[in-house]
Amino acid sequence: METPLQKELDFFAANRQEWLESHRGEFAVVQGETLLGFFPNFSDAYSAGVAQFGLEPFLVQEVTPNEQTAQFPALASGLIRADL
Amino acid sequence: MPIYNSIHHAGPGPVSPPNPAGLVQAGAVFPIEVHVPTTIAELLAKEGRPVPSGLAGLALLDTGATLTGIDASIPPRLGVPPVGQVQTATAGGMVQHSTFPARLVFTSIPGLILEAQSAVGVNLSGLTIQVATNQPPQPVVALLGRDVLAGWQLVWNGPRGCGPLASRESA
Repeated sequence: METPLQKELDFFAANRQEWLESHRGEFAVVQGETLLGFFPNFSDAYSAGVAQFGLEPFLVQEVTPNEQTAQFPALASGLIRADL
Repeated sequence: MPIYNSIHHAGPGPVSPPNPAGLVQAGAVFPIEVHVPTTIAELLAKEGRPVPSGLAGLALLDTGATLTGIDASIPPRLGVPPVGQVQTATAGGMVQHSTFPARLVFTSIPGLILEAQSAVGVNLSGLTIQVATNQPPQPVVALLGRDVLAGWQLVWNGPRGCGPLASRESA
């Protein structure tokens, strides 16, 4: 099964290096292979995305050199429960 | 700086005595409701469409979690699409999770509302916590991670069953 927003993530990855040069730390809004724009924070980016796309899925991602990761050690180790 | 105090009581209501053992058993939990983010609520209202009711449960403070997680079944029920993906490390390797914006309303703490920008959708189904002995277990619907704690100061008063005493730099 395809990951949600896969097309948007692929488009972001393909343009990451170029965007890093001029928009590092800003938030990109992408739907499909269309870039809506760059915004100074998540809130502004999300509002712009909702105004443009409504309830259709779109990607909001900070322009950073690396993929975003998260840690839920208690959840992952089964201290809370086993499956993430 | 707004200050919020969460006290575990031996029985229902604030008049019963504090219950330190309850804090030990339950951990730092808060009754919350997960709502659509304000931006979507405003869009729905503007279009004359109904705004979904919030889904109630407990939020468990998880100081080991880098980000805040919400049960992955909730955003589809609220009609909130994902806004991103994040990788998490598990025993079986890296796993992709969708992220969602959500509004977390702390129902026992008047005025405390968090707009979670990118809560990670994690599987919390079946996870329940019994807050008081005379109450049934309640579902955990969110894990409050260090992204939330970045704006809080916490005091854990175990002997008095108070935990956490939370204050925020901005409401």
